[in-house]
Amino acid sequence: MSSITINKVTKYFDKVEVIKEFSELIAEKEFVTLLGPSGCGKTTMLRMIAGFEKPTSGEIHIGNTVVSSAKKFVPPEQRGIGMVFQSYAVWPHMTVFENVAYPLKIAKLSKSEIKAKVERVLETVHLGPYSHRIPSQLSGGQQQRVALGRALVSEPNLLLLDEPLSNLDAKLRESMRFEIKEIQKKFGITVVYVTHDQTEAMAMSDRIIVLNHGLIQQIAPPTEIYCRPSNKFVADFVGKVNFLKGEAKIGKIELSNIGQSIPYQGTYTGKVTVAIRPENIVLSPSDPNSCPGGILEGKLLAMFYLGDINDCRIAINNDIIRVIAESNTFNTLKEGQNLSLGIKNILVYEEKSE
Amino acid sequence: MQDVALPLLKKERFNFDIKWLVIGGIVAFLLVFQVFPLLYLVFRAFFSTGTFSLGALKRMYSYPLNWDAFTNTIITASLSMLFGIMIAFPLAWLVGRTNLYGKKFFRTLFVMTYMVPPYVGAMAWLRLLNPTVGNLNVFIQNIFGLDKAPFNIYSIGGLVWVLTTFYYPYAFITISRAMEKMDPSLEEASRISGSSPFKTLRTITMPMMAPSIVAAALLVFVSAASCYGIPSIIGAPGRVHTVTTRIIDYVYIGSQDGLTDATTLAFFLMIIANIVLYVSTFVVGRKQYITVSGKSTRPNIVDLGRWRLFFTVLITLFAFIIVILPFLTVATTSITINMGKGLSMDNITFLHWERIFTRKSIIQSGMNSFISASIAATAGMVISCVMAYLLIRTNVKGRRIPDFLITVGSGTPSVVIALSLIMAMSGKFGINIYNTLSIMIIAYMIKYLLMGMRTVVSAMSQISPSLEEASQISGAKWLRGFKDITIPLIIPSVVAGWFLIFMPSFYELTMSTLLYSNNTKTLGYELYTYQTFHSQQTASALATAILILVIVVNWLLNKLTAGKFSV
Ligand SMILES: Nc1ncnc2c1ncn2[C@@H]1O[C@H](COP(=O)(O)OP(=O)(O)O)[C@@H](O)[C@H]1O
Ligand SMILES: [Mg+2]
Repeated sequence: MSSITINKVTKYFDKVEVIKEFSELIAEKEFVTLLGPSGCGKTTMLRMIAGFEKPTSGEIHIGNTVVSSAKKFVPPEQRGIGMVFQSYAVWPHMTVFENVAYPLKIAKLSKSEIKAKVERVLETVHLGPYSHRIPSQLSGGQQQRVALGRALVSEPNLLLLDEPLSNLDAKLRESMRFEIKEIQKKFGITVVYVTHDQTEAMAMSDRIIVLNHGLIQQIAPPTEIYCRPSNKFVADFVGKVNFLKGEAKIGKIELSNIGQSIPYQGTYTGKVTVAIRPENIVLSPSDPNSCPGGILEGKLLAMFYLGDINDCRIAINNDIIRVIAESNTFNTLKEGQNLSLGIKNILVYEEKSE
Repeated sequence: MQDVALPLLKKERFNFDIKWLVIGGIVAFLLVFQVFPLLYLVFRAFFSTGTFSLGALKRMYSYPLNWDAFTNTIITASLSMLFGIMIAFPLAWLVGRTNLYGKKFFRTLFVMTYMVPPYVGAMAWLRLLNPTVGNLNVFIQNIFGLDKAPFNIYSIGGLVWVLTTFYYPYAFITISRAMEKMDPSLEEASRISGSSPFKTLRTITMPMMAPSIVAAALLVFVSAASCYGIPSIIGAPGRVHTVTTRIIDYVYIGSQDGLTDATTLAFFLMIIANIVLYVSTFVVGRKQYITVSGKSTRPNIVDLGRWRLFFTVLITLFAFIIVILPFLTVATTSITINMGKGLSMDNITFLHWERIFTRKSIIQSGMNSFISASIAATAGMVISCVMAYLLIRTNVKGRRIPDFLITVGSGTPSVVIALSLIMAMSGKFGINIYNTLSIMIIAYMIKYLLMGMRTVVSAMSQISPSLEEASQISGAKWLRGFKDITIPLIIPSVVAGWFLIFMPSFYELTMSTLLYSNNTKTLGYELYTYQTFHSQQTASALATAILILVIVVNWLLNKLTAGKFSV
C-alpha cells in the first residue's frame, strides 16, 4: 500500500516559494521521476515526501495514511521509506554489513534474521564479498550500492532516490540504471526518482514529472513527454529541438526569419513558435509525401561526424537549423551545398502577446 | 621538441634550488632555536651532574614539592578536560545543530573567549569567589543565609573551575568544526532507516564525532596542564602548586638544584605534551572521517520544540556566568577605588585607566610587547606563506620537515620552550640573546607560528592551482607567480593569521615571565605584577583594555574572512 497522494503542496524557504501548488497521485509500484534543471525544487519535493521538510501548506498521503498536513506530521523514521542520497551517506564508522543491517537493528530483528536478510540484499546489489569492508575501501559505485542495499533491506514499499547516479562515471551510470529498474520490478516497489538527466528519466520512468522553478510543467509517460511536450520549456529540456519563429495563417505558417512557409492545419493564429526535433528532418527527401510538415530549402553550413550520427547545421536565411542525419551522409554531402529539408513532424506553440 | 623541453627542464631544476634554500633556512632556524634547546633540556634532565644519572628523575618522586606539583597538574588537567568536554559537546550541538534562539551570537561569544588571555579569567574569579570577600560568594551567602562562603577559589576545585571555563572553548571550536563538516545526509539516512533524532545522535553523530571529541579532550588537557597564568594567580595563594608554577619558582630561585628540578619537571610536561600531540595527530587524526558531501551541506536543524525556550534560557545563563560576569567583574574592578566596597558613584575612579596610559613603565612594557609581537607575527607570516605554498603547491622533498617541527613547537608547553631557550641561549653555545627582545620574539614564533600557518594553508588549499599555473605559463617564476597571484588572493587570511600570532604574543605571560629582563618587560608580565603585588585595579584596567582589543580584532577577523573565520 504505497501510493502517494500529493495534494496542493507548497513550500517556502523564508519568503521564497520553492514549490508551487504541487498535486499529483503516484500509483502503487509506479516508477515516477522528478525531472528538471538544478535548483527547480526536486530535492525539496522529495524531502517533503521523506519527511525531512514540512510543506508550508498542502497534504501528503502515503497509502491511506496522512503523513503530512496542517494538523499532522509523521517524522521520517516512522514513514517506512527507503531512501538513497546523492552523496550516498554511507556511514564511515560502520562496515558494509553494519551499514545495511542498521535499519533492521533499529526494527529490533533477531541477529539471525538480520544476517539472513542483509546477506540476501548484499547479493542483490552484488556486494556479497565486500560485507566486512569499511566504506573508505570502496569505490564510488560500490558505496552507491551500499546505500541502495541499506534502503532496500527492510523491504519498504516506497523507495526515494535523489540523483543517485550523478556521481558515477558514464558507463557505470548506464548499468546502474538497468539494475535499479530490475530491483524495482523484483521487489515490486513504488519509486520516486530525482534527476536532472533527461536520458536517465526517459530510460527508467513509467511517468515523468517535469518541474521548472517549482512549477509542474508536464506529467506524462516518456514517449508523450518527448513527442508531445506541453510547452517550449519541456520541448527544450527533454531532447534536442529547433525553435523557429513564425506567423500562423489559415493553412500555413510563415517562418519569419526563414522567409518560407510550411503547411499547418492547427487552430492557432498569430505569432507562434514552431519546434522541430532534429531527427524529424530528412535531408533531400526522395519522396516529398513522406514529409507532411513541408519542405524548406537551405544551405549546408557544417557537419560533425559523431560515429552513430552526422550532426548537421543548415543555414536558411537568418536561422540555423540542426539536423541529425544518418552517419553515412557525411561522405556524400559537402559543406556549402544547397539542400532541401523534408519535415516529418512539427510542434506549434502559441506566443502569448503581452 | 628538444629545444623547447630543455630550457623548461633547466628552469625546473633552478626553482628546486630556491625551494631547497628556503626550506633549509626555515629548518635551520627551527633547529637552532627550537630543536637544539629542547634536546639540550632533555640532555640536562639525564646529565645534570655531568654523567648519566636518573637522579633528577628520582627527585620527581622523592621530593614532595615536585611530586605534589606533578599530581596537582595531572588532576586539574584531567578534571578540566572532563568538564570541558561535558560542556563543549552539548554546547556545540545546541549552537550548531538546533533552532536555539540567538545561535550566532552565542557562537561568537564562546569562540571569542578563546582569544582572551586566561589570566583575565583568573583575576575575575579571584574577585568573585574569594573565600572572604568574593562578590559572588557574598551574594550567594546573603541569598541563602549561609554563615560561611560557599566557595573557595584558592583550591584545587577553584583551579579546575577557572581552567575549565577558559579551556572549554578549545573543545567547543574543535567539536563545532567537526560537526559542521559532517554531511547532514548521514544523519538523514539514519532517520529514514527508522531511528529517532535522539537515537541518531547516539548511534551516528556521536560515534562519527568520537575522534574529534578525543582530539578536543586532549587539547584541553594539554592546554590546562601547560597553563601558567591561572595557577600562578589563584593556585599560588592557596599553595596549590602545579608543574608550571614550580618551574618558574625554581628558575627564579636560580640555584643549580632548582634549575635541575625545573628541567625535570619541564621534561615531564614536554613528554606529556608530545604524547598528546602524537596521539591526536597520528592516531586520532587518521581516524577522523573526512566525509565528502554532496552539494547540500546545510546542516540538519533539530527543532527543539517545547524545549527551545528552556535551552535558550539555560545557555543565556551559562553565557552570563562563564563569559559576561567575569568580564564585567574585571571591567568594574578597573574603576573601583575601594575594592572592599560595592560599585557606587562615590567609589568610582578612572585613575587606574589614566595610569595605564601614562605611567612610563607600563607604556615601555606595552611598547616592548607591541614590537616583539609585531615582529614575531610578521616574520611568522612570511614563513607561513612560504610553508603553505610549499605544502600545498609543491611536492618538494623535505617540505614536511619544517611543517613537522612547527607543529611540535606549537605543541610544546610555553614554560618548556622558555626554559629551554634560557638554558641554551645564554652564551653557553656561542649565542647569547638572553635578556634581549630577540629571545622573546623567537619564543613567540615557536609557540604561535602554527596558528598563522594553518590559516594560510587552509586558504591556499581553496585556491585552484591552475591560477598559478596560468601565471607560470605566462612566464613568471614561482616566486613571482606567488607574489602576483597567490598573495593577493590569500591576503585576508594572511592578515587574519598575522593577528592570530600577534594577539597571543602581545599579551603573553608565561614565556615572558621567564625571559624578561629589566629592559624587556612585557605587558603580560606588567599586568601580572600589578595584579599580584601592587594594584588589582590597575591590572584590571590593563586586562579590560586587552579585552576590548580582543573584541575589536575578533570583529575585524570576522569582517576580513566574511564570517568564515573567527578565532
Ligand atoms: N533549507 C533551505 N533553505 C533555503 N533555501 C533552500 C533550502 N533548500 C533548498 N533551498 C532552495 O530551494 C531551491 C530548490 O532547491 P532544491 O530542491 O535543492 O533543487 P534541486 O534539487 O531541484 O536542484 C533552490 O533555490 C535552493 O537554493
Ligand atoms: Mg537536488
